[in-house]
Amino acid sequence: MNAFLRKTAVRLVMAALAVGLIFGVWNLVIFAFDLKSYALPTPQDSVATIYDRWSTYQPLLLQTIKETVDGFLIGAAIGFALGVAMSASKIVQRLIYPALITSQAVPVVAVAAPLAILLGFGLVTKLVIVAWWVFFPVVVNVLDGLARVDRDLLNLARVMGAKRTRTFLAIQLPATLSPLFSGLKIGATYAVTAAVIGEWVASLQYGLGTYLNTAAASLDTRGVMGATILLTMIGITLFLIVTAIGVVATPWERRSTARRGIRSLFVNDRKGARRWFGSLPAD
Amino acid sequence: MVRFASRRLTLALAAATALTATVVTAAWASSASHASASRSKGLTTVRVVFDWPGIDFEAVPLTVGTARGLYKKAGLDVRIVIPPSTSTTVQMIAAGKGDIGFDTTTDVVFGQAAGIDVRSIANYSQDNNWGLVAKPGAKIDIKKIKGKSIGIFTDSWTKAMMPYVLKAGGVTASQVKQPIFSSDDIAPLLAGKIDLATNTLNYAIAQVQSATGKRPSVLLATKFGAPNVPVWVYTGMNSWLKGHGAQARAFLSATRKAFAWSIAHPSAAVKDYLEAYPKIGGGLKYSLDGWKATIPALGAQSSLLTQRASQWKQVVHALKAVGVLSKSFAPSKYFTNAYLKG
Repeated sequence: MNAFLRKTAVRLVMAALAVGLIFGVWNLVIFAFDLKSYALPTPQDSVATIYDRWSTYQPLLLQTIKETVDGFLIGAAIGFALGVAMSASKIVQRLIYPALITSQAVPVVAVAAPLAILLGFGLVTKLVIVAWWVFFPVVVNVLDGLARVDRDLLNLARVMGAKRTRTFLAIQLPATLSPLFSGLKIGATYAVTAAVIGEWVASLQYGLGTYLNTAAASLDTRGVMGATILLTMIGITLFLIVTAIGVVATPWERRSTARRGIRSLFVNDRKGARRWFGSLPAD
Repeated sequence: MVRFASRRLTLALAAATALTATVVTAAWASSASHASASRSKGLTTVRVVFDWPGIDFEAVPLTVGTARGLYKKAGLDVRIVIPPSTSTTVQMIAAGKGDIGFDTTTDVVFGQAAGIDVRSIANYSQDNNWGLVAKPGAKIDIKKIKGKSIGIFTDSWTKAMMPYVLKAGGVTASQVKQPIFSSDDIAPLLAGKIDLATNTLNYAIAQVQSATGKRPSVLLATKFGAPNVPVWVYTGMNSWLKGHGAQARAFLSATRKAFAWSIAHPSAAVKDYLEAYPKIGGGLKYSLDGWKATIPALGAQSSLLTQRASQWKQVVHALKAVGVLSKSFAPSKYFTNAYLKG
């Protein structure tokens, strides 16, 4: 426990140092380029602005968090489902993969107007844009994870008579977890930028993205940087939450624990002995 | 563990040192390149920062001035600089990345409030050509806007003008839908997704005509009580103007001639513009429609570019009324006609 606390304390100190380093470089840039506050305010001023205008920022923050999180979850779900479907069928993969790559090469901003016309100016357009950015790293990583599953293990399961669904749930699904969380972490950092672009496209509700524009239009750089810091914090928080869930979901990456899926392949027979499930006689 | 932590710390310090060196080198390189700009082929370079992140037909007088040799005769090499966003022109001239700005009047007022010593040296337009836009053939009745959706932008001009729309319509902000757009509200209008768009009429007319071949229905904001003040002005930093007064005068003198020529010969002027920017989107029809729709807002030949103290009073009043302006000054702080003389 002491070791755990010490490790956590070191990590927190390092994180605080990293934030201090970013703020230091930020101040250094202002000093080196002789930037005035109308070009780039100091981090201290920007943080103070958040405090001063909290009542303005709060509803905007909640709106952008909603767009970011909902879009992220939708994108992650679509990405995972597509990854699994493409892995299950080579035809589906060959049909969909080029389309997915093309979808990522298309600048979202260019299709933003038709999207808004098609889907309206409410939440749906923003969710589509966030999901659009999030799903791709998830698909690629899930697909990659499924392609790297130990062939011998799959063959063994097949030889032992395991059904396709059981093999998927017990062997393939757990194997996607590590790459899935890598994809989700990338998606988490993209999601907030996508939400801002979604708000810029067309919006009935003000969020931090629209606030960025209105503040910039009146040369309110402190307001802009205050909103930027809050947007950054949304991205970092989402990243940390995904990382924490990933740590809990993949314990074998940190200690010598077998994957739950593989453990579940072994079941107790009628005499209580631990046996490979494929070798059990049919009831 | 201590050794491990100190190794991390060393790495972090090394990264910080590398970053510092990069920043200082970049700062030195930036100032060196800025100092080496300015004179080429015996002409003095004047960098005009545009108001939008893409060039459009409002640059016609500048390209005509270059194409017809008006700037060359004045000893100038005028170059148009495109800003990265719609609200960075003032910041760019303040940072020395341009000499003259092409801004909205509200940008000057906000710039002064933010402590930027920027000043308007000439009007681009004389009238407020901002208003409500509807599909071709549709009728705009300001008294019947309750419940309608009106597309708006996040810029300060829209913010200053919308209260006049609401007041004339006898409604509050919550009684109309106001979807916010960043770049274009005409496409949603034509698609029937909003009832009315807000825009300056030269852009609205050009866009609708190039999309439908018909003129949109428009209602100028001045028809329902908004002040008739210019939307765009040419600006400079007081510090630059003090040291480059002769260049500012030469620029405005040649620009005034370019305006007069472009008004008298719209088609040829737009061809000059398209020769300078052949890869621009929209083509001849869009740019010509846009320029022709801009001309009425430029005012009479005799008053081209000339500013009025009253226009600045009205802009400040409108921004204060909306509650977006914290600090205001006397009109003389915002403008000068001194560089239009001689």
